[in-house]
Amino acid sequence: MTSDKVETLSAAQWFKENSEIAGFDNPGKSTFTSVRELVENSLDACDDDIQLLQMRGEEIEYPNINVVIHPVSHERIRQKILANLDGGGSGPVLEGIEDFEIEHDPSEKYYVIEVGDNGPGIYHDLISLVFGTVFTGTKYGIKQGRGRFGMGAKMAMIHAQKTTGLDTEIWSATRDVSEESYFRIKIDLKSNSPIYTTQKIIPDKPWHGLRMRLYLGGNLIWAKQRILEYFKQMSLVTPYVNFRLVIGDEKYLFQRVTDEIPPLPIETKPHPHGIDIEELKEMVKRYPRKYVIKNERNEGFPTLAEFLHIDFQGIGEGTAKKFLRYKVDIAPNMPLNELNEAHIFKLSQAMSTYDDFPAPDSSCLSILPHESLEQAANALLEPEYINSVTGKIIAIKGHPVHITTSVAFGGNIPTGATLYRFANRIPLLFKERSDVCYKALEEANIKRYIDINVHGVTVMVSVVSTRIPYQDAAKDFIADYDELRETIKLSMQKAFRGIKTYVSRREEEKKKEQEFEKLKEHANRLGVSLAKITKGIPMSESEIQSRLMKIIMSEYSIDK
Amino acid sequence: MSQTSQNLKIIEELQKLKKIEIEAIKAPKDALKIKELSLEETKQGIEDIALNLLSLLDFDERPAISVPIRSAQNTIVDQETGHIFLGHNAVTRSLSPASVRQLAVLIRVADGIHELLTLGRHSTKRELFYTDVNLFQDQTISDRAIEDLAVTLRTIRNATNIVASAKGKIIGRIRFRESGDLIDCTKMGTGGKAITPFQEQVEDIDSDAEFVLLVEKDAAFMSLSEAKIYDRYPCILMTGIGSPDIATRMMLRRIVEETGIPVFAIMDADPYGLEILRSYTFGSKALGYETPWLVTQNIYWLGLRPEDMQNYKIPKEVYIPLTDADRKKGKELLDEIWLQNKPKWAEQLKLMLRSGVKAEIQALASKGFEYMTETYLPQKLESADWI
Ligand SMILES: Nc1ncnc2c1ncn2[C@@H]1O[C@H](COP(=O)(O)OP(=O)(O)OP(=O)(O)O)[C@@H](O)[C@H]1O
Ligand SMILES: [Mg+2]
Repeated sequence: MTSDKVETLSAAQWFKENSEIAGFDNPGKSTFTSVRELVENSLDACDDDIQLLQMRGEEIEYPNINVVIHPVSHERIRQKILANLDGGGSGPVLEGIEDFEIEHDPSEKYYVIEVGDNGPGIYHDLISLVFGTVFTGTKYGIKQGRGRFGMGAKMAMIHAQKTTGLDTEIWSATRDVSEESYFRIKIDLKSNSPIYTTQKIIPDKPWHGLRMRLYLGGNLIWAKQRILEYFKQMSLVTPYVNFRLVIGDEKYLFQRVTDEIPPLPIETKPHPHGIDIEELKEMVKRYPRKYVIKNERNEGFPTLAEFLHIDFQGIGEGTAKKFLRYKVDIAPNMPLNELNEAHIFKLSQAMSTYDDFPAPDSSCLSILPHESLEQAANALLEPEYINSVTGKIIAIKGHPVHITTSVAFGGNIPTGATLYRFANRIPLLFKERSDVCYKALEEANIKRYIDINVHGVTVMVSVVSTRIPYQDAAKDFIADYDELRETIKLSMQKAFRGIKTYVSRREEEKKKEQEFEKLKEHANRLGVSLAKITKGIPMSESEIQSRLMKIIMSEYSIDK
Repeated sequence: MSQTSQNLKIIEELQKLKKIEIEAIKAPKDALKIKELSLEETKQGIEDIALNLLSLLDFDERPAISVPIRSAQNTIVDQETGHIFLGHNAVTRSLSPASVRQLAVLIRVADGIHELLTLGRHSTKRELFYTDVNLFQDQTISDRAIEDLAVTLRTIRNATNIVASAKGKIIGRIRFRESGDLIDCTKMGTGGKAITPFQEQVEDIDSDAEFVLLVEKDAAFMSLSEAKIYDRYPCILMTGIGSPDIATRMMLRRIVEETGIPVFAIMDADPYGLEILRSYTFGSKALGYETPWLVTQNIYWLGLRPEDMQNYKIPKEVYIPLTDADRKKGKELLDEIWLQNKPKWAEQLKLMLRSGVKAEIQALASKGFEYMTETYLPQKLESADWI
């Protein structure tokens, strides 16, 4: 192949043509995914905001996330294109889309989707960058987060462009300025760069957060139940957030149930097992630069041992030297700029197979406390009892993976077993049967612990990690690693055992109570008859009854 | 041959079966000792039970009482006579979750009976049930408790002044006084006289019958009484209508005691027919404690016997295959000790189990409506075909 024949597909172009891998495979799924991408962006932004405020010791604001899905007719979309008007309103909170009537005819498959938050917003100058170019984002570090590829919002925007040709509207305001930025953006697919129709700063708008509005073609008939389910489950794992959802003229509120903010994730350095050869090259290329070693500021290139120590987690200089000398066979004091391709290849190979590095650091993960999840589950599912179990932390390809399992039992839960899967606090709704959690549930053999023909059970598995081991880029389900499946299975079984104990204790108590009632009832009868036969001598009816009760009470310590 | 001379020949045969002296039935040594108690004694017994329970309360002990078991687990059979009695095995009813209800039922029944005795009145089982429907819930519960109380008091049910409503019937060559009234059972139409539950009110039994014809079911009783069988043969016709009550069994025993005549039984040819025959002859397990008052010694099995089905050429269409329950019951009966006293009965039972079929008395009607009265019965009697 000659080089002049090679055409470079821009990233944006490529994704337009392969949108199914990002969850835009059909109108229904696209509607769902658009909502989901914007909501998860808002959640990430609000979490960052909280973290920042906590660091500064300032009072935090609980996240409010507003979602409006507004069916409109094709005619209105056409008028909008012709008029080329700006959307109205200001601030994150919108009850509906005023300038559009709700279209009730389900055969019209156009929607205005708007998601707003009270997060940190984005500075005016950054907006066109992060929203106008695929693969730009601020979440590339090693950190437990919802977004990571820098494409979610853009995929939704491209989908909107593709189906209606209309621009995406963005309103943003930050804490430190009292003005609002307003943008109308399209993505130029050829050059993967933004095209603005409007870009302006409106003064005297003191709010903060971000609001995005998309005009897109989709299918709500399919998506509606999924979206509702998504918010329902989302409210379980982010119980510190208020979600308001408006679909047409229906309103849904998923109220914050806790004041407790879980410890939020911290960014860490990569673990040597979690880096491939390309990533390693990238890391080396960042030099020369300023770096600190042994409390001394340096500039330029460190030695190879110093590089490992500075850029990876859990590698002391001693470990680095030992590793380089005995495993890789490169001199530890080789300056980084002398590293050639062969060295990097050798180093990468050795790093992924060396077993003596400490396990990946899990302290950077954000684990929702059981109490918060249980509080949310109590409000939402109204079970009789919940049992939560923290599974052990394992490492998958250099990333710590942490499992929590909560099992809600009885009450208003319909009979049978339902599985809720969460990955970094995002509900997974699709391809359940392929998911490692589903396979673990099958192996856990719930019937040995709980009679699900009689009792309802919701099994909630939350997997958090600096990198969730998804099977593929659609992020629909978690891949089936043996160690992961085994860990999830064991934590499920432990939770089921807890439920079993609870049920038998409850039944025991119920039985005792019934026995007590029965004894009491018959003791009264005995008192009547015995007193009658003996004409009250030597004891009156009430005396017989109270003596009988005394005997019963001594055997049943029921507080009555 | 004229009918009278025919009958005379039968009567000669029957004379041989007559027993001059009917001995009282003695319970074996290891059986529970049961006595007929007077009204005062029964009342006193109930009061003693109550006082015993109360005395336990003084020590903060659960009130408890021991009640003899009335079932197969506590049955003793007199090896010599085959009579069925109760042994000394008992269960405890106490203020415990497992048995408090039975204790309460027993004491509630005791309370009701105590009241009856105080008033000097009788009452039916049904009435007693209605004194506390809430507690008893089902009449079988209070019925059983009455018998439990009787056996706990080591007496018979009659001593509790509780009677069952009349069930059995009698007709034919017998007269007696009942509560002072003269009853002539030859003048009872076709329906017969109800056998009164108040057996102690029956006196002055007088009869010229040569045998008792005891039938299992009402249907057979009706056709025999309609045919006025007791005019053709000097006999008394009786039925307990299925499983006999205490009064019927007692009455039968007394007739035989007074007259010494034999009893010929006509039962269905199935395991339940034989079981009913057993309860008349040897006693029942649930009422084993009353056996000396209830069983009759002079009983013969006339029909319908399994062998009759061949001998009388009863058409196959009216045979009924034995059910699993029949087989089970049949095998159980075969193992029971009393049957050793009746080897011929045992033969019939074995024959039934082997052939795998049973038949009701009504099966005889397949050979004509009058076949039983005109052919079957006369043939049986004339050929002395009883075992
Ligand atoms: N609501 C918001 N508030 C503040 N910043 C936002 C908001 N939404 C998006 N951003 C910024 O825009 C960037 C791009 O978002 P985008 O969804 O395209 O990618 P991502 O979230 O980084 O990764 P992913 O492809 O997994 O979604 C984010 O990294 C974030 O910095
Ligand atoms: Mg995103």
